[in-house]
Amino acid sequence: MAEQAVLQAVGLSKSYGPTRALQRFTYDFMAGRLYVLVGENGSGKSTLVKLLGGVFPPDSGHMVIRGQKVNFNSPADAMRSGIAVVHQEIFVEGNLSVLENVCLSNAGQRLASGGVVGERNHVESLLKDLFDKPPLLDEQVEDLGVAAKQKIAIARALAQPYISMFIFDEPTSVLDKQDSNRVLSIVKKLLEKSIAVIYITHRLDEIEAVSTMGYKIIVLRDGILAGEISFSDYTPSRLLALMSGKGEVSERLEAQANLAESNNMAGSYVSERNGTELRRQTVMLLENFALDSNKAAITLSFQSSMITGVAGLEGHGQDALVMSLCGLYKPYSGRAFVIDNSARVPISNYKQAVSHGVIYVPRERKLEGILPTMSILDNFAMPSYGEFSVAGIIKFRKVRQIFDEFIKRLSIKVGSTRQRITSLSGGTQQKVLLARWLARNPKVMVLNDPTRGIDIATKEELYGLLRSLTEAGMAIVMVSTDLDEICRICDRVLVLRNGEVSAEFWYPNISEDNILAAMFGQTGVSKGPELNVAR
Amino acid sequence: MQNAVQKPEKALGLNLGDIVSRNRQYMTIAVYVVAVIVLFVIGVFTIPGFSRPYSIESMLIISSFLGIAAAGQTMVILLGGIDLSVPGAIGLSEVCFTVLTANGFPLWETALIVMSSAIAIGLINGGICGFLNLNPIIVSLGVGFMINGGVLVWTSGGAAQGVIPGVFKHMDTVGSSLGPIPLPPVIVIWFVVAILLVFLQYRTVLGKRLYSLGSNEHAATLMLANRRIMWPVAFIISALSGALTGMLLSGFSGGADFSIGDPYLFTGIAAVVVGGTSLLGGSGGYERTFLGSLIVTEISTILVGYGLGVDLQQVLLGH
Amino acid sequence: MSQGKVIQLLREALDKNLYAAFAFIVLVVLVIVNYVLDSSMFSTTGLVQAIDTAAPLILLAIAVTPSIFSGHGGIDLSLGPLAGLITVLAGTYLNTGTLGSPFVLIPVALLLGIALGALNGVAVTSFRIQPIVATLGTYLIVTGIGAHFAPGAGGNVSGWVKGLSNSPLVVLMIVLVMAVWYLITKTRYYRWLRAVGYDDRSAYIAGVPVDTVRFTAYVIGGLFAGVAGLALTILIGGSDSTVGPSYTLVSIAAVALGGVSLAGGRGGIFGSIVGALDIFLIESLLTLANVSVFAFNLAYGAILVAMVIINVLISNRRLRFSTSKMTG
Repeated sequence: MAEQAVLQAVGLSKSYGPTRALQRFTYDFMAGRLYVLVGENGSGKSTLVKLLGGVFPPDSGHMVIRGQKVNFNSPADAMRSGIAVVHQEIFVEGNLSVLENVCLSNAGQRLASGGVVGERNHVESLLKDLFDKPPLLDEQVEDLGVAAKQKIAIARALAQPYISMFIFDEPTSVLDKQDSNRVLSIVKKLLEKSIAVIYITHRLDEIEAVSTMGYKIIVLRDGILAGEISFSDYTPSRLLALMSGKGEVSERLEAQANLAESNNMAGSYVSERNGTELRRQTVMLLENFALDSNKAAITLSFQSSMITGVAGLEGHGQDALVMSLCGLYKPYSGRAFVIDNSARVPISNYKQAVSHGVIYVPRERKLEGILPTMSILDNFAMPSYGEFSVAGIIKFRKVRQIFDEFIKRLSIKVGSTRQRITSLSGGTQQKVLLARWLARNPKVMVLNDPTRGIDIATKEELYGLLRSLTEAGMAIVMVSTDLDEICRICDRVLVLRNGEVSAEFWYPNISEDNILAAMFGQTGVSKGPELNVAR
Repeated sequence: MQNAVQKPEKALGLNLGDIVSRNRQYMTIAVYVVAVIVLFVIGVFTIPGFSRPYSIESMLIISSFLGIAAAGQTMVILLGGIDLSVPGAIGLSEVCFTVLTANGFPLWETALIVMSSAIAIGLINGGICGFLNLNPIIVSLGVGFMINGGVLVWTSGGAAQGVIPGVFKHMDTVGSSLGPIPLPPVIVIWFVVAILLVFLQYRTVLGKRLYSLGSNEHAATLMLANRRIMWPVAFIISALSGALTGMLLSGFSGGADFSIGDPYLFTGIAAVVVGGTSLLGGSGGYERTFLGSLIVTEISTILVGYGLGVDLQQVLLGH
Repeated sequence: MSQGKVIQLLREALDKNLYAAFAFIVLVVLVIVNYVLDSSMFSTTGLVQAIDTAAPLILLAIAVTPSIFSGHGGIDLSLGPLAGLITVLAGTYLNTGTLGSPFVLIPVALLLGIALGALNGVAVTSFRIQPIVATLGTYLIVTGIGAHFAPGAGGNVSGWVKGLSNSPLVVLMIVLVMAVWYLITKTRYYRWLRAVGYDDRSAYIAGVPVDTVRFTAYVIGGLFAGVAGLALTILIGGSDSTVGPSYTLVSIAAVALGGVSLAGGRGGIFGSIVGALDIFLIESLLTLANVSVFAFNLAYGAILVAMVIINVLISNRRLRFSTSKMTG
């Protein structure tokens, strides 16, 4: 029984100036099959998605759909050929209503019979698959949270009248566990309708989760198709080896990946932690903290030489908590203090926080972190320019010197520091942002989802960096939506649920099961080592 | 800083591309320099007399006025704003210099008054926009109207007589010179302004903060750039450059003429934009406005040579 | 229609136009104050006369709205000069014989507006020139053409044009334009326009023909500007190439005053109309109060700035409430 491919990519290539993002990609995608696409940042994944989605045409090569050669000049062309894409970036219109957004790709054509009412019903049923409590159809999308927006983008793609291929580009990076599961069941339904599905993810646990319905894993590396692995032959180490293409590195990653499979803390991080004696001191306090009048006020303390993770379902108060620590948010009640030589220094605004050594790295790199029109050097040095200047005039030699040190220390792969920061991959940008604040010698680093959207290899590097900073005395508070990550590197985890701390776990009682249970309401506080407070 | 591991198939192709992207910033400016030269060549070949020293010096003088008027505007645009009150600052300055001189005020006192007014204008524009986050189009438009009205009230509708301050009489005539430099003072002043501004942009903390706010205000604020300081600063620079323009214009306008600044609004913005500075903020700079002023002047002169449009000299300088 | 349906319609209209709330309140205040100072303006003839005088500004404010709405720095500076150019044509060339008939002037005005809009649209979409730059260029070109044909004021319009001054036909013109726009808002084009204005990248990804939408916005604006030119011609009764350009900045001020976001995607012509009426009434108020001509601009500018400040302070407070859902 010869299966005709839904879409054949033939020699697709695309370059951005001197960078060859994708080279001669050739592959056949079959109906009803699930293809998981993986690759480091800069491997060409998102370029491939954009080519398939018609965002721009390839420099060379073409696609064949149902035996016909096609060329897409716009996403509208791709949609007409039956390709639906949920991009990594959330592309919804804030000033339009939920209904208008979902119908946007088909404005004018009714999605279902029955006129206006029929259309509304159709959209409502689509949303029910994605939301516990779907938003009102006429609500403005900009009032909704990030996760809701992503789900609306998914609904919009699902609403396309004719779909033969559906592409998900890291759909769950902003979604919590519940929503991620919903997406996976949508994938299942699509497969049942003989739609070819391409699913891009950075997360090993997601790959595991789809192993029963998956067909092949496609690995991209440096813009070329490095290989494919059938799900029947899949092991994490085999995958990581294909991804990195480097012998020794894959051994190291394999060692860590194997250890990650065990429930308790994994890898070398733990043993170092167990071995050395770290002197911990309380460096920050969040006193009488409550997000609104219905919540119990609690006092949290944060110590040096450890990583405190902040976990929870999306939108349950993590951002508010960590931003309160930095003076960026005024909670209903609560005050942040920095403990300096056993004196309590109140933090009432962000500027004070920074001057007392508390820094904040925001979640949305593009929106809140980088200066997109400016150079890599500027992006690194901006908060430090004042220090490295005399009478307002900058001493560039000193600045470059310091940056070079950080480049070495963090293995930042960069050509010329005068290039725009947007020429770097997401992972490298994040390293520059971390270097930016490390240059200020902070005492407390508050990180909001620092490894989001970053390839696995860079993530590992960052984990190593964070642990080594901790061992040198840094206090790190880190919000993360990646449970695997939390379990691997945190010494302590606060789990938030409905705006309150519902559980607190100390190493070695940090496990995905424990955290998940707490996130869903089964509280538990484990016993952890007693700490000396404020001495 | 090369990659730790060189991929053989990349090493070759990346070299040329690497050079291009490394110097992208300079490459794009090169385009504008080429444009200036190309336009000049076109003028030489199609307009008789275009390459005579007199014509070149005339064009440079016009560019100088345009460039100085657009200097502060560039700073405001880098921040992501725009200043529609520049004609007001120019006019106010011109009227002050002519009327006050006619009433016996010494030059330094007039200069002090004009400078203080310019700072006040900048503080109002920048303060309102910086603190209240209002759209600079409307705010500066309103402030411009207010300056206009204020001057009209003061001069009773333009009935006051003005006198050209002697010092300024030869600022812009072709063939005049500033000390040993064989160029009219206006051109020299323009160059000085350009050097100062470019230095400010790229070598000072202030300049970097300005760019950062224009590039991504949220990120810049997290890095402790303060829009409440930077917007007033940018608008003060804009008002001061307008005041400087007005002062130089007083040298030959023949009297108190408030509306002398009007044409500089749109042509000034054109100079900034043509030079490639983005109206969204965060990219570009005065070095580009400098070239943009030259380009706008050249285009206008060429068009007039073809019999189209109005002579920029007439429009900008009033004669 | 049931009572419930009426309430629902009213509520929808309120939501849609809430952005113009402050400008509307100011309008009510201005109307009251104006009435107190000069109730004759509110007689039938007085009202018609007032609206005829305000018509060019109102129509130009409406005309510049679609381009601003289309986002990405959208704006059209050339519409004021276009109106001026139409007065020049009407007063200098299209005023006698067959050329002087309304069947020539009206189509010419509208076609000229459409052509200008198309030119701006092509510059912005095909050549990717920033709107402020492109329309600045066309502003200079149109002003130049107008000055070339008839420097200064003067000229003589056809008899039928003169007869229309102070007639309710101008009011009808405004209503007609509003009706056309209303019909447009009922189409899927309008949904596309709002999407493009707010975030054109998302619109592109969703399959919206962004360039076509933007181009059409400029053409619609040009068409409405053509109508504005006719209203201006009726008002002046002659040609004047210098008056058009001055409307440019004021019409933009009107739109911003009305609460339409200059960034695109938000608002509608209701705000532009209210803003234009506000400006007109402020002017009439200052005249009635015998404010000296010189202090006029001073007061005008001060009121403009004050209004915008208050407008934002009010909407800031609303924003602060909605962003208080900061729990994660």
